[in-house]
Amino acid sequence: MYIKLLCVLLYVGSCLANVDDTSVLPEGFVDATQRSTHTNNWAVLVDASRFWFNYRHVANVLSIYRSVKRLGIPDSQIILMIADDMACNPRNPRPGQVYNNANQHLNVYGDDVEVDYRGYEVTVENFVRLLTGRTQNGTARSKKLLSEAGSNVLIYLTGHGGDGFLKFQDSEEITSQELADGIQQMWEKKRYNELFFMVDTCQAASLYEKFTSPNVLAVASSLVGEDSLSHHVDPSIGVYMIDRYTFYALEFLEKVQPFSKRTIGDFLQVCPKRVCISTVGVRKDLYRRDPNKVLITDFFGAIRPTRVSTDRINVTLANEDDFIVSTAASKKPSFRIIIEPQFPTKFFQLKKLRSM
Amino acid sequence: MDTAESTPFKLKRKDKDEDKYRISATIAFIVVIVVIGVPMWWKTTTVYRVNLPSAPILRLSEQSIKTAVQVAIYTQQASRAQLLISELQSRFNDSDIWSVEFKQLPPLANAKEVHTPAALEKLILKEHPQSVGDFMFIEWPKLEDELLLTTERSALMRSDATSHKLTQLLHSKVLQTYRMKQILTTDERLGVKSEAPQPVYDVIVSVLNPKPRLTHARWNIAMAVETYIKPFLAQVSDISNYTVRTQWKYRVSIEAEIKQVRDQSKLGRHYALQESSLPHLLTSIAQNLSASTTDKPAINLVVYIPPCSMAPLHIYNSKNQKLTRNGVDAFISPGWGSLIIANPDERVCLSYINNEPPLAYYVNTNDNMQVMLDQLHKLLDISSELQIDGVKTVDIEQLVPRKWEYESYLRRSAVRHIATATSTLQSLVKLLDQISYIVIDDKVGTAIINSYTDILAAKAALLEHRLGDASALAKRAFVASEVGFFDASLLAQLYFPDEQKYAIYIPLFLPVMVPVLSSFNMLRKMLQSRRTKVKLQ
Repeated sequence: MYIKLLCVLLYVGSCLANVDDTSVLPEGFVDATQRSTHTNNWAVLVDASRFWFNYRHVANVLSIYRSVKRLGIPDSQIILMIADDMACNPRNPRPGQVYNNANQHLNVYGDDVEVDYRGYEVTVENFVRLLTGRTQNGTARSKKLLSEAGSNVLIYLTGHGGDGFLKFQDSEEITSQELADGIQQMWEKKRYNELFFMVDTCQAASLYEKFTSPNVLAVASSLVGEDSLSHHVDPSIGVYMIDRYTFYALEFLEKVQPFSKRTIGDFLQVCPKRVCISTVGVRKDLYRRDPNKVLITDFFGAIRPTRVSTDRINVTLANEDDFIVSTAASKKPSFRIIIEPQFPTKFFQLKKLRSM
Repeated sequence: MDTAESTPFKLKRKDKDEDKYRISATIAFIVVIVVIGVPMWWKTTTVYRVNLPSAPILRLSEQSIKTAVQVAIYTQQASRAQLLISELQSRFNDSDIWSVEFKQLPPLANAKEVHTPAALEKLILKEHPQSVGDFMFIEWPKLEDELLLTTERSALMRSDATSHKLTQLLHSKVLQTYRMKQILTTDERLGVKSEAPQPVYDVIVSVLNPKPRLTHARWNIAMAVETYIKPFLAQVSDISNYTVRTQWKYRVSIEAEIKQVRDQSKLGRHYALQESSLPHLLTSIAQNLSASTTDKPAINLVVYIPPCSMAPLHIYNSKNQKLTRNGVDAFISPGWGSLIIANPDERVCLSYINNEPPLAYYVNTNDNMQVMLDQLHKLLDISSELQIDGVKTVDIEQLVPRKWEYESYLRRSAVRHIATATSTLQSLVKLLDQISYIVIDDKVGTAIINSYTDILAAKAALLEHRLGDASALAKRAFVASEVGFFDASLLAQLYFPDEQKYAIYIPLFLPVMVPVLSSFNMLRKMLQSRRTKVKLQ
């Protein structure tokens, strides 16, 4: 028994020695198993509630959108579902802007928001179709979650929830069972490498209770039986600005830079009970790595492997001159740019002439 | 007393006359509701499900995917070939991925007359034709390296080449065992993370000219693509179909940190682009390439013409070394595409520095297309870049890829498609077996069944040396399995599980059923009373 164990240790040691001589055995081994194996990142951000008094939920989801975009996930890999348009709501005194605090420090709406599902498109059906990949025929490519076996997926949900459900559009709800089924099907089809599930709603922890799929790390703003609270009111617009949990999460994420060494472990501590009032729930039993060793950019940032390649294939199929001649021949007829005057000043000049 | 009793009695008589009708009416109701209504309701509300071969599909992964390859060895002395074969055979015997058949080719009588390896190969092939996916070692004593891989299905070996080296070559270059293992592994950390090759791709060649007013670059990109890229893609379209588009994009700026570096050139400076900022650069330009307007997966081939204010632009690594080789500055990002930096000619930028009006110039087609072709080889995952000591590979000199390389790609894709389709079908069948209210319509049903039969056929074809058939079947199986798995109709009854079915229909049927059920009771009573009457009489 001991001899066997020794052999295994020796074998692992020799493997590591080949890779990196300076690494000490246990640390090196731990690092190897803790390293992320993902090849790209996806984010699904959902605000499930509409109406002006739910301004804060739009601010929540846009906060996360802003952070993942700033940290490098391209818009083509962010699926944003927003059930209502607060930025252009007639009651918004600052059109085209959504703030996360009453002092207007941070416009989370930014300059460039690509909403994939808006208004009444935000339904449980569309969300489940998105997760399982079973979209209706004719759905645009940018509205699909095209993740693969190497994708780290971030799912963020916010809205009004209860024990075991999250309300969509005030008319229907998604249950924790449906969520768990959707994620299980993603896992079965190898559509994610690791999944970070984040939810900011009342009794949020109830939503991740039914998960059984591996490699899922879940965090919720409140435990079952608790309400999630909003942060503060802006008296000038008369509604709550943002929810507590997301407010502190954004505060943390704002300090993260693309090559940051901050970990998910740090992120799970962002909202202690004294500031959040609700208890932040975390589910780690499905997750294999140690959150304290997982970089925050594994989920909120993006990696895009690049490799310099300067080789060429030496085939010449035509003379360079042929291309030049064809370019010269294919030259389009030159065109002139005429700038029309902005005001019809001509008419005024005519009048002047007549009067003279 | 009489009168009191007489009225009900009379009524009873009257009742008795009507009993006939009442009974027949009741029976009619019962027939309509119980005999016709209930079965019809049951039939029309059952979920339509095509019968699927669930058990055989779940057993698919029990049988491993094994590929047959034939390797022929031609030596001048038969004894050497025999020795090599026996050694090689023992190395491949216990493989569970390959079933390699080694074949000894008898020495040819007229072999002495030929003076080039190519001629010898031709001679051998005339006698012993190869089929797709096969390989051949030919002994050629005057070789510089131990082994030389040709662009056909063969390698030349020196007379002292060892069987160890041959095995190494077979495993790492021809068969690419390590990549096969990556595909077939069940360990999710070690497995391949990229997508299986898709049946269709859009190849989008974009030329970026951020400052068209200052850079008068001229290029017939459409013709360049017609000459180089399209014919090449036509050669490699067994697995995927490619549609090529070209576009010019202006005013697309790149977001990356660029530093000026002094040098000895006429311009006196060049610009350095850090290797670490390349991913960010791609993200910044990707949005403007309008690749998202297509519904197919896209491969982006970008030629970036830096304006003279930051040209010539070269890529530097983190150790501050210039990565330019042979005047090429380019990089690839697997799964996304590639970028070539096409710096303008020196004279163009010289005139820019001297504040002269912008010079028109032609972008060099052959130069850029040669680099792009190599990038495509890498992006499509056809080329094998592994280097082995003592093994040299002949450079490609035509538009077609090396035959052994391409066939290894076919083999890999076939296995990849079979493995992916198998796991897709299995997860789908598991799901359908668990949830009974998911509709399986004819389209999904046939897709699953077709995919299943194609997987079996593809596996058989791999074992029978029919690589071409196997890759076509595997591709078909993969496409069908994806269609089946992602069909939108699978979610049609998501909100209508069985419990809800009863919840909706029971309030509807109960009011109808109550009188029917109570009339049962009435019938029973009536029959009983008749029977007692008969007894009394």
